[in-house]
Amino acid sequence: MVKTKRAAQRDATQWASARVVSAGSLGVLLAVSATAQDAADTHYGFYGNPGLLDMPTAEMAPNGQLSLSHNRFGPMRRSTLTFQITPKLSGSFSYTGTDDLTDDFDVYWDRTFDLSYQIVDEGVLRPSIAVGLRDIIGTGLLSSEYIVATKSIGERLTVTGGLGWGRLASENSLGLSIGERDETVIETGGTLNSGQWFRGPVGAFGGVSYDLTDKLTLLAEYSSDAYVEETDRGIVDHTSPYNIGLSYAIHPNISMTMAYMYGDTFGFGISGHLNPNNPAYAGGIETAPMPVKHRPSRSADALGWSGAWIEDGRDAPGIRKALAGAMLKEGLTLEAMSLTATKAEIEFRNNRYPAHAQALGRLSRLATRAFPPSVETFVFTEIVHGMPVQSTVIRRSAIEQLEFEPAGEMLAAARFVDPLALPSDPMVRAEGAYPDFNWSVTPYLSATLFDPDSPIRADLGLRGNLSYEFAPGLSLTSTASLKLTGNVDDLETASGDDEALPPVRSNASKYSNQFQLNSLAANWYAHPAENLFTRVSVGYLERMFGGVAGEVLWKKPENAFALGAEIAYVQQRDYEDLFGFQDYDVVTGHVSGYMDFGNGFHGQLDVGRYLAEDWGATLSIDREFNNGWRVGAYATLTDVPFEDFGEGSFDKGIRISMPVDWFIGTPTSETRDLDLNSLSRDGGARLDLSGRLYERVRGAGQAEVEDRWGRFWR
Amino acid sequence: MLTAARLRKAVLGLLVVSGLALSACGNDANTKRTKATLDEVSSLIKSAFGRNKGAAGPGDPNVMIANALREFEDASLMFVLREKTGAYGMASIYGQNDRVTTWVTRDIVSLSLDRPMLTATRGFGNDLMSVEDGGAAGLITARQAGQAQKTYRFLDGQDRTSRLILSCSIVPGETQAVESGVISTSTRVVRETCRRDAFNFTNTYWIDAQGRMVQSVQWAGAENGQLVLRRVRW
Repeated sequence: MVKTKRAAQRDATQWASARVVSAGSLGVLLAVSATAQDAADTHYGFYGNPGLLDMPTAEMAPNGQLSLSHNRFGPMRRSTLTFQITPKLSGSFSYTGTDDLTDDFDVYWDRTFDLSYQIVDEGVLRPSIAVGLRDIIGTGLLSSEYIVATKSIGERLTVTGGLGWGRLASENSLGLSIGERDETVIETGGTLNSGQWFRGPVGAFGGVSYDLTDKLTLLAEYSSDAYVEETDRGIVDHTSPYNIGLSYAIHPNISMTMAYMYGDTFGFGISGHLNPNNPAYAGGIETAPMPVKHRPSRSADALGWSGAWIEDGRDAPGIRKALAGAMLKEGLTLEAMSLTATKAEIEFRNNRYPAHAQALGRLSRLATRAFPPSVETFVFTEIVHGMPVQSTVIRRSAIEQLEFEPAGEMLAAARFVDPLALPSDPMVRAEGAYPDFNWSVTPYLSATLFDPDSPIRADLGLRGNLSYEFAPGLSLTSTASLKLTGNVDDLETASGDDEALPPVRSNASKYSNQFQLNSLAANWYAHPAENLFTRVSVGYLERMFGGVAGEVLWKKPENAFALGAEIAYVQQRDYEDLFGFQDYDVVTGHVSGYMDFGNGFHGQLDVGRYLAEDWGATLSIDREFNNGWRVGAYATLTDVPFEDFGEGSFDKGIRISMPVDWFIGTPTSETRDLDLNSLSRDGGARLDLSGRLYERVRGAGQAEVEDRWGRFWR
Repeated sequence: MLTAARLRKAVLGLLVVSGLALSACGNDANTKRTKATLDEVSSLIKSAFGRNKGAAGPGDPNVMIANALREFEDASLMFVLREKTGAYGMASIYGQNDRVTTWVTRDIVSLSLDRPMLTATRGFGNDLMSVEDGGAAGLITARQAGQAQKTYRFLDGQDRTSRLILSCSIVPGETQAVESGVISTSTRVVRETCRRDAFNFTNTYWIDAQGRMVQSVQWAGAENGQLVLRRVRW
């Protein structure tokens, strides 16, 4: 079960702690993707990434594949999210718990991040070879490095052999050593422990996998991990380096593994896979569009073709009304229209299609039905938050001629321009377009997982959203929530370790009241000059801060990069009084650079001052799929020393954005967002402003429209 | 080592599930979608687990055809069946663009025919986006033998257009009488076999003396398989 929300619309009630969609939706996600056959031949080991049982292999998953695994044996349990970042590079995030590993805790929990890079892929005679790093940013307890080769022999047998360092050299050490390995455990974790990579003794490991049937695979390995610390503690009884297991594919995308590990214990694992490249239905299952309507011949409608109809001025209101009605059925809102004898400009809002090209395609068809024959030029201008973001100019005869031709021909016939660069005829506002009042009430559930004392904590309640746009670009927005029941606020407040930083985020749970005013703000969006967009918001901007914020974005449609700047003066809100403030105030702001690398990767760099008056920068890199999936990571480094920051050393996280239409096949701009990060801390905390300009402007822009142009005629 | 309090906090905060939309009310199109979304997702779960399979159709196709002929007295009508699923329905004319006629079913799935030849579908999922026929439609209409290179276009999972280029040979065959709905006519059976390497399919058209397609079995894509089209009233 998940929370749904509008594309790119940060929900103010979501505070900057860790967020994730629940296991339930991942179940749906896996079930749905069954229709898209993922090549899930790659076997996943107990580390949740390509491997035998405990040992890695040099295999790679299909490009873009996401995998979720849960594995356990003996005192260990591990949940892992793995992403095939590029065809050769794989990254995994794990959450590992070990019973009784230390005296301090019943369960010792550790977060680890693994990377694996395939240097060469498999040839006829050549094995695939990969290098890998396990636990590169953690406390170092689970760290190891390896180089591994894997070769398939025939259809069923795969043989793997490799060399390991760190944990992977604790058994069967070859007696050779490369440099000295620093064995100290890094206390706060979270930083790269590159000093020890490929250092110290070297161990050898290997194994085989054999496909007994299409679904059943036998796995056997010689492990070079002696589980030294665990054996010393007496929690693992390591009597043999040999592990043996069976893996069974219960579903094309779900496999289960049973194993007998280290001559002592049984292990169990399950992993599910999903590939964002393969939606439930390519091209969607929404209903068919209205067909294009050809104009009558000149002889059949001489008046219409002459353009003389424009002179009595009586047609436009009727056309506006009919067009607005037809557009509404297609999920589009007519905002304004201009009409001359030869040209019509339509300003519209797209409420339905995540592929903006599809909105243009549907609007084009309606336009062929709405206007007298002498109107040859159509200008479709998409309005986002009252800002005219982009105009698409299309000749009517091209729409008529190209309806059943490849979409590329239509793209060649379309022209994209900044609306401010076009000479505009007087626009007439559509009746009822403003004020635009939207409201909704939805139940919500928010929960925390993995609390050792109470496995699931949850809040259940109602959340209301209001948006009142009284004129183009001028709006009043609010979100409030009413908690009906729950126990999330029982959580200890994660106060800073010392008073080095003002508590700007660490007191989040103090805001967990029965009734919460998450935000209440007045907003003004504008497009004052070509390629320039602005926004000002005043009010209770987010759950913990209120004040005034201003933003400027410079974005040229044809450029891959854009620049933005944001500045805000905010004061910390009161914990209980909905409208009150505390004493702490701060001027915060960032300069942001955005770059679309063009190969599916997108980068963003924000440099500036954060809420705790710390200065620094946030770097985000996302892999973006054309169909709206995004998988990314971000990190913030500020002038707060790691020891003052606390656990994790600095703010970082992984985020996944899943487009809902990918699952259900019908268009909607909703996404489900999963955000995995460490507990909210005070360093590197950014104002949680909703409706930032870049995503809004970019979504309707030329590059995004062209990326999904195949949908124009869908 | 970590302090107990620190670690525990890290554990607490690591994963927070946020949000659930059970049902919604309001006038916001996007939150209404939320409800619809959940309904659709739950039906997907059901079908994924084998329950709720194949809701019963409206019964006998002949009854449906007879009803449609009665209900729409003067309209051109076509019976459409997806061989792969056994689903069927009636279609009427939605639009005409030069030589392409677009037909639409009651649940707003459309099929576009360039004279006798299927050139686009919309609404099935994995739709046929366009066909460049290389002269095939003309040969079939004229009931003439010949060769044509056809390009089928589909959308992939990233909304990019993919092409499938096929070599097709068109061979007119026997003459057959066809009775369909209120149509009773004599036709020539024209077979069009398209291949690319090991992959191939055959489309079959029943063409009357005026070059009109009375019935046909045509390939609509790898996922949608063959469609059976049958005119029941001109």
